[in-house]
Amino acid sequence: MESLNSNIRNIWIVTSLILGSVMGAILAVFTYAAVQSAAVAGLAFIVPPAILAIYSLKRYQNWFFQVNDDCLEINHGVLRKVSAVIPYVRVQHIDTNRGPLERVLGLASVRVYTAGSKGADMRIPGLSRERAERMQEDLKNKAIESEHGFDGV
Amino acid sequence: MKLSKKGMYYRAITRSGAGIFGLAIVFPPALLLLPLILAAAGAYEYLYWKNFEFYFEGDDLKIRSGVITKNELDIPVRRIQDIDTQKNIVERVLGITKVNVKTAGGDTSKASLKYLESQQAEKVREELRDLKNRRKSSEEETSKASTQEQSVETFYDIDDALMTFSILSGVQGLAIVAVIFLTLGIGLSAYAAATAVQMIGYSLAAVILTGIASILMLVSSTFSTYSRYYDFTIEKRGDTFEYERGLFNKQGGSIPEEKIQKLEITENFLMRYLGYASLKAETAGYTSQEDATTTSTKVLIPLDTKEEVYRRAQQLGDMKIDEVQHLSDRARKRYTRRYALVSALLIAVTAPLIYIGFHPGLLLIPVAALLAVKKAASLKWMNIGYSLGDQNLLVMKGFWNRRTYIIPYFRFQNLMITESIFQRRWNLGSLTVDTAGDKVVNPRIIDLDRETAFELRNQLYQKFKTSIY
Repeated sequence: MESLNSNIRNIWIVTSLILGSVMGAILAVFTYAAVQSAAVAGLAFIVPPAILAIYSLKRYQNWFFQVNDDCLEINHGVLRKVSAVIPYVRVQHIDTNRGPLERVLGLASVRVYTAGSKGADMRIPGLSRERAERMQEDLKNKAIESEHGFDGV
Repeated sequence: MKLSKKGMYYRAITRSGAGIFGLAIVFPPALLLLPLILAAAGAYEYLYWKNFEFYFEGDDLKIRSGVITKNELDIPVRRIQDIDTQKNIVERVLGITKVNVKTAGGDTSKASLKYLESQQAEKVREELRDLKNRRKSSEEETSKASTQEQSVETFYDIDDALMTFSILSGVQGLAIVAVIFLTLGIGLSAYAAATAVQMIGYSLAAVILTGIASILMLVSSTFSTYSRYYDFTIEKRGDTFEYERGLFNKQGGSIPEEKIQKLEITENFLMRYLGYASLKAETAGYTSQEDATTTSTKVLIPLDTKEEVYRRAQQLGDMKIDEVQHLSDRARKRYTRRYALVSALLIAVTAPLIYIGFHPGLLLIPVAALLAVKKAASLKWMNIGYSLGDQNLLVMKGFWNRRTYIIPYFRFQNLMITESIFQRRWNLGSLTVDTAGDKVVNPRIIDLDRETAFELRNQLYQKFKTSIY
């Protein structure tokens, strides 16, 4: 099983710290208004970013995928764990995505589409750019290889 | 071929109708412009009609359309998932029909022919079916295929079963309404009553009111189902199912057998008790969320005896429906625990109510719930099951409304195991089997032992692989 690039962990933690701080600030204001204690308000400020950061760390630690001979396997999830198997014959198309933040850190994500209805597309975030390109090529070849005149549905 | 000219006028009126109505409410004087609006709508629809053309060429259905932007849509006949025809009562009087030809692609790859002359709609459906059958037989080049092509058999005819079906299918909603009414009614009587006699009197009134409401509801749902499934007939022509139904609004369609993704047998509790079941088939035909009038789930048999439905399903699904396997005892314990918690919660809610002046008789509700916990949990458990056939997976779930899916292994899209935090405490997981289609709900075997879930997935994956290579 492969892990994600460790840079994505940092992105996730930083974004959750920023988001958590905003939530924490709001919570702290209300707490201060309610109990008039700077210490309690300070604690309220820390809680949301701490929880979100731990969640992000767990999210990274629980993310695994594996490119097998005939299928792609994905395992992730913190509260709700998901383990999916996608046969290459069922892959409709694959695309790579690079957001602005991802681009700065040289990351990319790969999305694999099937014709299924639920969980029809699976996204693997936080791959290094080379890994993502290699995977897209790899998956594409495997999808073509395993095609036997099917239309995938 | 062109669309119907009558349909063009009809479109001009119906499509501008809502706008005119809105205008009349917001700014009545604007209605003076009515002739102008209608003329503009008419002109546009004329151009739409003039630019719209469809024809068969080779193995494709080709559509050329567009007033401003030109669209060229080619649909290979073998990629057609299913065909729908619809006409409401006005359209029936006018003799026009809407035809939808669906593929597994998105909305834009759906051919929507609005409107065709009704006879022409029939012809188009026939043509598409024949093209498909011809293509198949030339591919197979066996005498068997050509004889099959001619065969026409009535697959199902609703006839006398219509009324029974209409009543039985309303029972589900009825039960929910009845439970809500009864709970509210008894709650209110407990609020108003001072003595036990009063409590009993009020509760009786609540029961009677619930009865009346239920009957009204049953009548309306029966009428709705009756009119929708009036004269339901489904024929099998070659390898294609052709159905027709409806009292006011006529619905029809073609479902090629080879495009069926999975079969679904449904029985609500009353149907099951009486020994009846329904059979549905799902194709991968794409339906958008907005267009809820048609779904890719098609009814093959509205109502028949359970044996007959299973026999037909077995024939279509090419499977022996064996004894189903049930979940482990851990799952049953989980349900017992869950329902016990719900009952405890009910008591926790009821107790303060009695403290503030409700009649103690109200406690009957949570006590009844508590007594039913064990039975309810084991009923839920008993109605969940799965079975691995030669070619198909069978998944069964639900006590009130039992659904049994039959999914060919070669239709699998992906296999997913999910474990929620609550399931993880019990070391359980659910296995979702995804197939192509627009259904939001996929067949899922819930609350398997975690190890069993992973083992079963491996097994299913192997079966999938053998089935496609």
